[in-house]
Formats: sequence, C-alpha cells, structure tokens
Amino acid sequence: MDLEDQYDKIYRYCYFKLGHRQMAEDVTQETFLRFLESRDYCERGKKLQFLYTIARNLCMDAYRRTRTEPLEELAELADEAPENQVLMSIAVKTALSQLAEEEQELLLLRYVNELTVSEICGLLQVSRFAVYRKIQKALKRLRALLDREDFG
Amino acid sequence: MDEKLKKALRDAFEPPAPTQKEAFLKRIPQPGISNLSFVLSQAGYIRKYVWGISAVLFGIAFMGAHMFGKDVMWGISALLPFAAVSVVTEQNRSYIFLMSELEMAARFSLKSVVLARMEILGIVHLLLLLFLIPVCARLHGASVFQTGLYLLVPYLLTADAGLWAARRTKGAESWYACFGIADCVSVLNLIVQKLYPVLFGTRYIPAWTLMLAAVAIYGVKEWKRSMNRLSELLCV
Repeated sequence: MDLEDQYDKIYRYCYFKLGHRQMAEDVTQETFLRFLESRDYCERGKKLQFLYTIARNLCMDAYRRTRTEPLEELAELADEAPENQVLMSIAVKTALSQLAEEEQELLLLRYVNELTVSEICGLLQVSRFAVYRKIQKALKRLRALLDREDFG
Repeated sequence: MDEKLKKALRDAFEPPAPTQKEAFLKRIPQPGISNLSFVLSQAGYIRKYVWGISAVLFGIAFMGAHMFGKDVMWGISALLPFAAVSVVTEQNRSYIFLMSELEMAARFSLKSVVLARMEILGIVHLLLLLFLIPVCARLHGASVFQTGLYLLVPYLLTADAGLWAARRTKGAESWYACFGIADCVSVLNLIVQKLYPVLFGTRYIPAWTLMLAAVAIYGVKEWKRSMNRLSELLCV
C-alpha cells in the first residue's frame, strides 16, 4: 500500500466529510497514526477498508463546518484547464451538491478514490447488492441533473 | 462511466492542496512487516527464467520414464549446473547490474533481500532435488545415495565455481562467466559419462562421496565470502 497515494485519497475523503482543510489534514494524519499503531494491520487482508473505517469514525467525531468553497479556488482551476472542462466541473459540482450526502460519498469512494465494491461494503456495512444499487441510483440521478443542464 | 465524467467528478471532489503532507510523511514510522511477509514478497522479484529452469528440469524428470528411460539421469545431471548457476546469478544480480549502491539505499538491507531470495530458491531447489533424486534412482536402477552423488556433485561444483567467478568479475561479465562455467560443467559431465562410464560404478562411490564433501565445504566458504562482501559495502 502506497502511503503517499493513500494520504491524498484519505485527505480528499476527510475534506469531503468535514469541508475544512485544516481539520481534514488533522484527521488524515490522525488516521494514519492510528492505522500504523494498530498491531493487527500488518497482517490484515483488508488494509484499505481498515484505513477508511478509521478515517470515517474520526470524521464523525470531528466538528463539521460549512463545505462551500471560496470562489478564488475555482478561479485557479479556470486559469489552467480548458474552458469546457472547467464548465463541466462546475456543472458536476453543482449537480453533486443536489445529491444526498450518502450518494456523494459513494461516488467519491467508487470513482474518485477507486475503492472496490467489496471495500465499500465493508466500510459502510451494507451488502454488495445494496452498494451496487445505490451507486447506480446516484449515477442515474447525477446524469439526470447534468442532462437538465445539457452537460451529460 | 465515461472518462470525461470521471475527470469532472475528480475535479469536483478535489480538495485544497494539503500543507503538511510532506512533513508528515517524512516523520511517519515505516509500517512494519513480518519476516514471512518479507520473504514471500521477495519471490516476486526473482526472475522468471530461474523458475523456468526449475520447471524444465521437473518436466524432464516427469517425462523421463516414458521418453529417456534409464538415461534420464545423465540428462538431468547435465542440466542441473544451469539450475545452480541461476541461483548464483540471482544472488549476485545487484553486482551484475551495478545496482548494489542503489539497493542499499532502499528500505531493506541488500543482505536481507539476498538472503530472503536465496531462502526461497534454496527451498525450491531442495524440493526439486528431493523429487529428482528418487525418480532418477528408480529409472537408472542405482541406489538413492549413488544417484544423489551423481546429481549433487555437478550441481555444487557449478555453484561453487559460479560464486568464485562472481566475486572476481564485474557487471555483465559475471553473468557470462557463470553461464560459461555451467556450460563447461555440463559438457564435462556428458563427456565423462560417455568416455569413462566406469567412474560411475560402485567402486568409485567413496571418491564421489569425498568430492561431494569437498564441494559442499568449499561451497559454504564461498557463500560466506559472498555474504561478507555484502556486509563490507554497508561499512563503507
């Protein structure tokens, strides 16, 4: 398991949950420290699931602040990326904000952090069928919202 | 899901850049690893041709009864030097490809890595020999002890000469030297079998036993010297 790669993914997940950079970083670091301290982790077959479970529990314990992004950060993206991509990103972000938090979390875990369905099942403590169905439902809703804005 | 949407999702979830990541990762303790996990992890780094040689020997012995009959032992005896040299070249791979200094900067010491790989190959070759010796003994009609002598002496002779050559040559020359030695031992073995078959009679078993003891003792010495060479680099 590449710690540096997983740091970025866990930090992204914590930022999604908490909406605050400093808090997300603190929780991310605490996650890794607890993960490494655990005696069992070396031989656990499900290291990634264990790591995300710690992160999730710590996020739930942490104080939740507003998740809106300052506009200047979006402007940074506009300087570097092609216009179409920027517009698509803004549209996807807007559409995502209209999904339920659970749906957003599933899309983040599955398509951005690239967890397998099995790992998501273990993390969320639901069946494979339930995870698969919820992901498909979230995707369908997202596409419907994007189609409404002609970005599908 | 199409790539455009995936990219848009990644951008949408992208957080502000972390500020403490580098400092944290530098001071984080390296995750521990059990001895067994470490040894097994080295199996993936052993080159495929090493496994291939062992598989070919196993296959020849397996089919020997049907195709070669009692002559299978001579064929295996001629091929075993290549199995020995594959272990020697694997042990000295860092020196052959001039990577020792770089590998020493890695997480695990070069000596630990080499010992782990030799442990794996040693077990595999031990199992291979434990299979080959009884099979050849049965097909050839000689005793297990006698067959063991005829197979182990060229194997250990090649290993010893290979270790000696690897310590005295550098880079790709080591590789050529080792395989040259395997060729010579193999050809010599075949020539002796054809021209002096009397040497494989029961009368010469004590001589073979002495030869086995000599190559085994010398092999241990050469192996210790190889391991010391790895330790010397650590002291520089």
